[in-house]
Amino acid sequence: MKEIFSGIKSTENSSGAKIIAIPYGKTPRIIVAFLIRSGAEKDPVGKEGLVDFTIEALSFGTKTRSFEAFHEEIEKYGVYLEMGSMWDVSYIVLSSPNESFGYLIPLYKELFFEPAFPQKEISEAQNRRKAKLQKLSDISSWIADQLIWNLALKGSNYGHCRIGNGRSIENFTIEDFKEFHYKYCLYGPNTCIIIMGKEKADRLLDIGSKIAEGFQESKSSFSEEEPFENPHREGPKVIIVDRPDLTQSEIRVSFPGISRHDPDYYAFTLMNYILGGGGFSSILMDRLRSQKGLTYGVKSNFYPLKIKGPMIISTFTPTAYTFQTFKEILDTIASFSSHQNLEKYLHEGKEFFKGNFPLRFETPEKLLKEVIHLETYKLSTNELVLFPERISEVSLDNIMKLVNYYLKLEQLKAIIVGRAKDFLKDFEVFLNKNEFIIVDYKKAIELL
Amino acid sequence: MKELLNFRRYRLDNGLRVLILEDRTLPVVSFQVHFAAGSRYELPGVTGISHLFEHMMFRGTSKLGPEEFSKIIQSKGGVVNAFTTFDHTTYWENIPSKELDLVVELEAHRLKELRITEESLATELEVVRSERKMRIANTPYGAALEELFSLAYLRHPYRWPVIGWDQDLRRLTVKDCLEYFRRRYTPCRAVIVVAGDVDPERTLKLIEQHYADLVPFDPGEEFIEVEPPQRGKRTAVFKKRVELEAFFWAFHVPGIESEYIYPLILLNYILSIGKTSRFWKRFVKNGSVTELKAQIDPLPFWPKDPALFIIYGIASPRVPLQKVENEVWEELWSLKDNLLDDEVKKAQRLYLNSLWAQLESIFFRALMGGIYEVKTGDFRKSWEIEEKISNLTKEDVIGVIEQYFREDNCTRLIVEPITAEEEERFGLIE
Repeated sequence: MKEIFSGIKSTENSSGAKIIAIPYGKTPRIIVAFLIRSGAEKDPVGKEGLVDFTIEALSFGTKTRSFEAFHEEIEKYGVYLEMGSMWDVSYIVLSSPNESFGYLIPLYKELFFEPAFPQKEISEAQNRRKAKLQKLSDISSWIADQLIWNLALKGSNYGHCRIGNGRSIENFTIEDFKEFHYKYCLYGPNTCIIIMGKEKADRLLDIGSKIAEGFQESKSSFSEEEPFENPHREGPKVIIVDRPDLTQSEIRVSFPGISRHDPDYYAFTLMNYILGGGGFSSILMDRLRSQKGLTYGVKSNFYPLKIKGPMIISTFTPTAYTFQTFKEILDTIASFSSHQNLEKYLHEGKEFFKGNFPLRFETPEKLLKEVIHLETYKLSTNELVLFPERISEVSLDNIMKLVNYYLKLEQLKAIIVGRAKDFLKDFEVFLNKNEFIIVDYKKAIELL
Repeated sequence: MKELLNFRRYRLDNGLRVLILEDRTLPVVSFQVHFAAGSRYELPGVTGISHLFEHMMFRGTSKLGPEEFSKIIQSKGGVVNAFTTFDHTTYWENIPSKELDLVVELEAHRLKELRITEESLATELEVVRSERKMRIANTPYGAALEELFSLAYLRHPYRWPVIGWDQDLRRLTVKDCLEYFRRRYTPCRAVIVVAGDVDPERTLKLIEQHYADLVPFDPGEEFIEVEPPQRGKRTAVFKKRVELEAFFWAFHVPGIESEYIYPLILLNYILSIGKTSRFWKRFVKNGSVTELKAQIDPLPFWPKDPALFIIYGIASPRVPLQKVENEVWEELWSLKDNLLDDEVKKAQRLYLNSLWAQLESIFFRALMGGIYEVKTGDFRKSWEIEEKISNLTKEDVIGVIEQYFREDNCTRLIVEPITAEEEERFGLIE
């Protein structure tokens, strides 16, 4: 396993762009990833979804090739193209058969450095995205995910839907795309090219450097702006979204979390595993599924971003058990610190992360994901290599401090999507009037 | 491909088949047990028992409590899960290689000492009903897809969903589970696969040590209802509160052992994979539809018996669905006259590049070997995929269009949006 990391080579060209070569893989493919260390947190107010749309729009044609000509050219060689934006990073990943890779390099450069943003393609894509949003709005779990995210991060650059909404998409202009591309994609220090394959590192590095030559022509400059973070979690505690045709309710509960650079990252990772990130080895799954049969699944996730991302618990349950399930989640959290077997849970969690470590690099795609994470947050390879050791150092005291600080019930926010008339009374008894609101499903979609 | 799927194959005296693949790249192993136990082997009235039983395998043994099996594996750094399909049930663990002994011991133990009680069954039934609601009832088109299969198959067990009908699930008993276990979880219906950082000789000995004493049960000859040829187009309407109307077409096509699956795979790519596919270029790009796809189960998940090739479209708010359907039909049949050699070559390259990406994973390679073995009786058939796909021509693809995409072989289902009030009158989908 050490060979994987010791085989990685990297360099930086004169524009400041980083190039990373990873000689890894068993099959005849070469993967090229363009990484832009700016994501959906750069979406302007009123133009939510702009960054993700801009990244997609890079593939709408180049200065010398139309949309059709470009895609015909890459697909005829069997290339897979994946692109999009996360909150703190945007990416373009191209997986190509090794035999045709040499021919494809100029095409990849065109894609990244010379996009044309043609109006016709933009208009069509805007219509596609609106239709996609309409389709997604039918999925109650998706709506619940979006609403809890918005509720948890309201007041920051992150409190919106990453792919936009029906109104914001109308506001995009070609100038917006050009500006983002110029400012963030062409600025060497904000980018990274990762190249992987069953090849020698030097050859991969050489190819990566040729691709990165495009950065040298860029005159772009920008100063890193710190994302805005509003620590006040205002508004109602619980939003109940009424949708009478559902037979099962979606439940989301959120608490404040940490940023990726927080020194408590490893302890938080373990706390999350014990609470709900560890599947059957978590106390939520044990209580809600194994003991009570209330749901097929419950999980917790935390989202360490450039800012403090939230911790979110997600589950679903038949309508009749909605309130009981919600209450069980709260009770599990309230009794977390006094749980009898926490030492055992902690030990098992540590063993899981240590033992599972090699599986995180099983395929080139998995390793790429890890490297993208490191590059996004400008972390050293050691951050990954030393992960098992740092996990081992976490103590129960560390976990307790986090539980007591972050998982306070007075800080929770929740979304319930379901057939409200069947469970509303229970919530009315349990919560004060000013702690919750009921919204019709259609109205809830408009909140996004 | 052979190099990546070059399993050593053994058979124990009790009929249990064992496939072992050595790959020392990383200190990890994928251990899998595949049983010929899927909804294909169920009878009306007890639908869903294969999948429910998969859940019960985690509910405890003579010495392990509910879900303790999973907890032990996870506490060693492993990932554990299982899944049920039409044709088989697969249990798998991806683990650090030093934990292989433990996993083999635990997997064999739960086969010998499984405990099913009224209480554990009652709890798990609620879990499965919740899973059913998640996958079927609460998704926009899940219930419609169930209806499509029930319309397309009149006799064959693929007509009911793997997860089972809700009313059948509510009736299942401990006795049903135990009988199912006795008949289907017998060594001659199982395949064990071990892939990764292992010594094959030692691994075989380890498996013999724990599995050789499993007593074989002779299941005798099995009778699976054969689906008669479809004799004319079937059409139905499914009304539901959805945002967008949709159509689903299902065409009967052969099972995994047929030579025709390869041109059908390429047809799937030609129609709907990539930004230059026929559907994307003509319908999706300009917004005529919100979604339009051709869909088949990828290898090795392609069904054992004759399967369904599905084409579905979700309407755009701006274009009438009927117009889209007419044009999709026209596009499909126009391939007979205007399919290009280059389109076939492109589909071949895209498919193989995607297959290579999957073959990087020892988990996927173990699935490939195990599922081929349990479905066809010979994992080596998986070696042929690359060559079979590479050798296809335009004429092969046109051949399957003419053979299978006839109106008489089509089942068509339309999903028609209704208001919340109308939905209330229909009652809730369970």
